[in-house]
Amino acid sequence: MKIGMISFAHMHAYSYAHALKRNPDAELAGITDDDPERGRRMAEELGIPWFERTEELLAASDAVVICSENAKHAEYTIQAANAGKHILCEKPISTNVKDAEAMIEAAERNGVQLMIAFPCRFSTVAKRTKKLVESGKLGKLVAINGTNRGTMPGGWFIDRSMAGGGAVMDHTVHVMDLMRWYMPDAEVTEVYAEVDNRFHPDLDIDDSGLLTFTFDNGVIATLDPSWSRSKSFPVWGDVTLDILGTNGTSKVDLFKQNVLLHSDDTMKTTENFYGDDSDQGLIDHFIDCIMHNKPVSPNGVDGLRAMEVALAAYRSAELQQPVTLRK
Amino acid sequence: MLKVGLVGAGGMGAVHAAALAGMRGAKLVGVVDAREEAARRLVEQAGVAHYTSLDELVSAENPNLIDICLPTDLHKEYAVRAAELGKHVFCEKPMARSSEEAQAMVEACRKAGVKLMIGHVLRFSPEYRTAKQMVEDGRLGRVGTVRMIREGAAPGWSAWFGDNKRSGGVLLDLAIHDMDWLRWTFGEAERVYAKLAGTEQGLPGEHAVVSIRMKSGVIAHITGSWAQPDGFRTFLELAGTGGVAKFDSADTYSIKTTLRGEERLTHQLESPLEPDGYFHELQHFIDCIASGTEPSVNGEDAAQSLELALAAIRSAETGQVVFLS
Ligand SMILES: NC(=O)c1ccc[n+]([C@@H]2O[C@H](COP(=O)([O-])OP(=O)(O)OC[C@H]3O[C@@H](n4cnc5c(N)ncnc54)[C@H](O)[C@@H]3O)[C@@H](O)[C@H]2O)c1
Repeated sequence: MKIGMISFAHMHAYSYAHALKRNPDAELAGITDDDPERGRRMAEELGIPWFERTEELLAASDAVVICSENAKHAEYTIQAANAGKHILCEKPISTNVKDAEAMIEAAERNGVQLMIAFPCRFSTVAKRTKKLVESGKLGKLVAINGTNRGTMPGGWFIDRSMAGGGAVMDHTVHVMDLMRWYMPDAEVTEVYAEVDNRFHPDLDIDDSGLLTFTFDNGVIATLDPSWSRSKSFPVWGDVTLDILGTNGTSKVDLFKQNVLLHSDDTMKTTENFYGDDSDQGLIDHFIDCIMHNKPVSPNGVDGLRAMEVALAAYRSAELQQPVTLRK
Repeated sequence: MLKVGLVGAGGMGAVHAAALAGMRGAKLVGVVDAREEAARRLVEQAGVAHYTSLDELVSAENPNLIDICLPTDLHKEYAVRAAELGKHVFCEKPMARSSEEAQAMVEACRKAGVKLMIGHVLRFSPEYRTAKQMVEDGRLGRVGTVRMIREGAAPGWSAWFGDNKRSGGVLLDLAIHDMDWLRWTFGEAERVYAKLAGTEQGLPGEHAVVSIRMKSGVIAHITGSWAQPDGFRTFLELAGTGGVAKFDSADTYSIKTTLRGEERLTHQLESPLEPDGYFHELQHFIDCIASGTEPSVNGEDAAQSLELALAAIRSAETGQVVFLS
């Protein structure tokens, strides 16, 4: 499988490229990037071809990985779909519902697969938790509290026209997707949110928030997506789920597996993750699905459903009222 | 030496009696409880008498203050009566079951010229005091988000906790601790939104999540739960522009003991403090009475925390955001 990389605007592109290199069935076909300097540099570093134009890259690829700014996901995805190429697109799927629907439609029309990069689904810890939930040992799920805190990323992430939103856009979708994955028949019906920029008052974009929402199966949930980790914090952020069922609880921390380092060099304490690499699982799944014509998971609709919750959070914060998503 | 009459010899009554035993400037003089065996257990330890009613205790011992450790729905009746009898009142949290009851307590104490303090113990607990101090000293910069958890198994020792009409449920009984600390540290709340699940959903007890926006802009999340399989845990995390502070009771056990038993191992976790927050809060009230100063957590103040908890309950019931006036 020849895989082309479209844009290295999102830093996850590095990790995906290396995961592709490690996959025996994948071959990196090359890179295109609307920042030619960045693209050339990456092509050189990875020792793969550089393509000036997206068409050229598409012609050389069976599938593409899109790590552009969020606002450009739709354009690249639709172009790749129309060229008959499968797509792995970085999260969030897009910045608005119209674009996301157009992406899903284009993939369907052209008979190609659209996968959204939610690596958390491939975390060994998250997968084990799914098994636990499915086993029924926790009983019926009643409540889930999630966190996906992080550090303010800067760059285009804080440019509304490119990112579509700040922390709430960036960090709602991962945990949202995990919750939906754990409850395959459930969808969010109502969202309430506080949204602000408490940590970077000079930013023109949100960096903090708190979502409270309800699923149609009755489960109540909250999620903190804030970029609230200070420079001194020992790790970039977290992904946690506190799951309450009628028969027990499970407190899940995807990055708990780490070695603590107190360093005189940096005068800082850091958590050094030793858990399994979920990006590899994500890439391997994508390659496996397109090679063997199996449906990808998470797909475009999963991406859309997760983003809808983030968009509803912004509406709710504006209205200072809960917002209904669907009956 | 101030004389203290204790009403309610259950879980908290025992804690208060133990705290009073080592306190300067005060001594326990008598105990009232509807269950004679509960009262007897305490009076035997303290070497004082037990009485069948507050009036009887007051006429026999003439205490300076009454310490109320009764189920929540009885706070008002006993606080008002103690005030009428001219006694200072220390009352366990939550202050009362309703705003009206709280107002009646404040009013009765004001009229009688006695002091009223509510046992919001977090204000006297070293971990929460330390955290507040960090905020005040600016060590976190501007605080943006606060995450608080108070969770455990449903209180098994007394059935009245499970009766919402008496206890107010997990929001009024448990989450109010965190709400009071939030108010104490960050000022008043602007609005609150809450979700509640309970036995109707198949849980062993109530479970609540609360989203609070403070007037200062702080975004706070509180979990209050009686739906955990076992144990009791408190958690606090403050994130600010200058740092992140965290306290998790599950990480602070300073003594972990494992004992070989006949059938299985037993584990014991301890994080001892001598004295603890319960001692400090009572000592504070005793000192306030002796020096004629106003206690931290007076009736008016605690009534605001009650309002916040009641607002959260209203939000959970109606599904609406509740704005505080
Ligand atoms: N500050 C804290 O950390 C904390 C912890 C637990 C409880 N509390 C509060 O303390 C109060 C008491 O709780 P508890 O856990 O001690 O409850 P409990 O049920 O253990 O004790 C209440 C006692 O009051 C007695 N009683 C009931 N009705 C009476 C009456 N009419 N006259 C005399 N005695 C009567 C009962 O026999 C019982 O011994 C409640 O308001 C509760 O919310 C506070």
